[in-house]
Amino acid sequence: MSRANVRTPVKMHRNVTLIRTSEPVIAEEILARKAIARLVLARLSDTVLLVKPDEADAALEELRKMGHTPRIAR
Amino acid sequence: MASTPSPATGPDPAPARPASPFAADADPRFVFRTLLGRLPMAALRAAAEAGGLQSQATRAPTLAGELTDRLDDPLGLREVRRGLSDADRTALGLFGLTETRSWSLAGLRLALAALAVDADATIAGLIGRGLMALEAPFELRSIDPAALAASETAGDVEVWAHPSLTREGRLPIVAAAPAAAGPVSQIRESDGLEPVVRLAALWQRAGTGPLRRTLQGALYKRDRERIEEGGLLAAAGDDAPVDLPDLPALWLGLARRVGLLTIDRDDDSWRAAAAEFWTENAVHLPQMLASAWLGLRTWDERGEPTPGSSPSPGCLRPTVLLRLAALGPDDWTTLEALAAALDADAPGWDRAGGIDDGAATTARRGKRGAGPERQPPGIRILERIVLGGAYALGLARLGEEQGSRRRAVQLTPLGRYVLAMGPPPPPRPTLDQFLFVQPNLEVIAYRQGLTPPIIGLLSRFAWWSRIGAAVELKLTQESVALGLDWGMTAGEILDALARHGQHGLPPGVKDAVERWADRRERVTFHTAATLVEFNSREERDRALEAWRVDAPTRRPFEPVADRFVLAEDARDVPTARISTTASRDYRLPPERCVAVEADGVTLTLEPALSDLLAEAELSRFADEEPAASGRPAARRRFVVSAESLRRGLEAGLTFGLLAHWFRRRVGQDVPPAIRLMLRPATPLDPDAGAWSARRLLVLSSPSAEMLDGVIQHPDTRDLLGERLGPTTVVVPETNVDALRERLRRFGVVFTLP
Repeated sequence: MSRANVRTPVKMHRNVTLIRTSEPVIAEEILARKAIARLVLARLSDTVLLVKPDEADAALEELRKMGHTPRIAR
Repeated sequence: MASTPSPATGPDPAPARPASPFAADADPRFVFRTLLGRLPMAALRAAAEAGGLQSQATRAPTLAGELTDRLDDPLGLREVRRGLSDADRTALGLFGLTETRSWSLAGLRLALAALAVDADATIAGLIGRGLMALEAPFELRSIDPAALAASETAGDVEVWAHPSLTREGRLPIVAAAPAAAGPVSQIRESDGLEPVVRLAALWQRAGTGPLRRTLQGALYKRDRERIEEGGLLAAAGDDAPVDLPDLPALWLGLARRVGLLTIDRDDDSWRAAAAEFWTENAVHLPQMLASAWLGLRTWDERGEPTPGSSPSPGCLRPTVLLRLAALGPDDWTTLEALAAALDADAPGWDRAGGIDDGAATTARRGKRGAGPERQPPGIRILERIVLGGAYALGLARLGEEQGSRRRAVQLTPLGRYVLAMGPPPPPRPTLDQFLFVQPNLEVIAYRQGLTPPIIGLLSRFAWWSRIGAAVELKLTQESVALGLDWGMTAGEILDALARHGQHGLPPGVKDAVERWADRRERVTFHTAATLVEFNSREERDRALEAWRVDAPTRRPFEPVADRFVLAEDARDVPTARISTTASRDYRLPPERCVAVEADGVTLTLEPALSDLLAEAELSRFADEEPAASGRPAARRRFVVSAESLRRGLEAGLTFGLLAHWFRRRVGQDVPPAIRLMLRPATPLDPDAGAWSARRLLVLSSPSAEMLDGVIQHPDTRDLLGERLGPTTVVVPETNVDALRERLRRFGVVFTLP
């Protein structure tokens, strides 16, 4: 089998709720706010935060309270 | 933040209609067939015979199916239509006119009676021929409408018509026209845009967050307040001849009926329809709103529908308009003449509803300076129907009869068109440049330029802030962000403002819109992203490069952390290039994916079942063990230590939360080893304090059998303590000498160190 035909084994995580920021400092700012930090389960990278799936609406509302107008990717 | 259900306000469908076993979007043909199948077999046989249907069916559902099949067949339908009387066509046409699938029996009887139709005979005839069906929360023993209407549960009975029969077009009006009024002056007519703009404002508010509802269907208090905030949706229109009660509920009901609000099946909340609604429907929105209002049941002229057998005044809306349509297009009539005409055909029609006097006093704003005067109930109902809803929607116009100074009304061309009594109304002359965009980001719109499509366009990116003779909008960071969410670009927003602006855009407005658009890109909220997890960073990077080469024009993937790739849309992932070893959907309940090892403190993630949430949850109270040689790389282990537990407790973890997590993720209780470490921080041990320790004298025998003998023998058994193992037993210090003496008799000697 040629190398081009090799399939890479992966695990798929579907319908994940995430906050992605353009800069790490914005992620820091979000995590510094208690009301939203409690809705964030983990920081996957400098700019990507994993949000509790059943708290998406609350997280979005908190972001707006912070003055952000996030782009919503559905 | 928790929110509480609003009091009984809100467009709660429950009071208006009894609970139905059928879903709101159930196929009406299926519902009709099912309801017909519930009729007594004798009634169905009679229906088949009346329709000339030969059937060998022995079961009611089968015969009901055959009866409805006939209505789905064009030839059969034509035959059935040919046999319909004017009264039948009027009854069936009311369903089409109001675009409703069912009517309350009480409401349909009143509406037909007010159109000079013998309601009971007509409804009974249609049911008897299988062209209408009854829905009741009890077993039907009779299909006689009069008998059902006289019963205590009449308010719970619904009438369904087969959908093939409800498109009747122009309804035959057998009722006499009300007496025409004399010459009329001071004619007023609304542009019909008031409801459109208010629905647009409601749509915007739903666009910022769903409108959540309780199990009973009422809006949560917080969401109700959000709708009423600023008074935009709660205040009466400047031009309204009468005030209507509970306007937010009216707009909500209309928005639901035309599809501007849709139901989210996940949580039963109402969400804003996609922005495409406006491009697809705006041109026809006035007609759609008129039909929606004619059949609206979640709101009525009393404000709040109440259960009971008394019909709602709302069921008179189509009737009243049809009575006006019996007049010539240029003829006027007074409300008094209209009431008299209804009195003649349906005595007691004005008992529908029961509009309170307090509310009625608000309905006399037309006579400026006049104090509150008591109006007959029928006039109060007609005021709210004709001068309230119909006037606001542009279906009726208002004038003053010269001499008597009584209020005279007449249908507009739009009103006649909606009733299929006239041609489409000519389009209104419009003004292209009607916006005045101010440097403070407020936008004044002159009504002459507004049309439903333009209202839809502006609603995407500017908040409606005042609705009056001139309409005001406000551009804010949030409104522009919403516009971008609804698919516009900053350029399109600015272009729309410039195209319809009377002057050039102030530079500050352009800067603000562009700045807000840029700012929006700083944070992206993914509600349903796909993360692809690779075994290693090297594999991930190699795959990304290969995918890029395969499809250079595809939206780029974003690497996240060491092993992940973020895809906004799962369809972008090249499935031909990957082999999915496991998949987790985060909308589904979490799976059990953690195993506890024998030591009770080591927790292992099952790679096929685990998810990112489990990892994150684990890391709150456990530390990941570095990958060891010989263990599969994907099999990750976490160790719970006193320190890691302390970290978790400091972050808000409690024993209850931990126990819940173990049951959910492991499927068992917290292991004793972890409970042991949790002991100081939880009230697990009721005897908190120092444990006791003591030294024991242990006798060891050469074999288990010999110790069995010592334990069993009556001379020695009372001298022993707890047996610790097969060959060991505790000997109390006080019994050592006695035991030694007794064992010596059996030839056994033991020594003490």
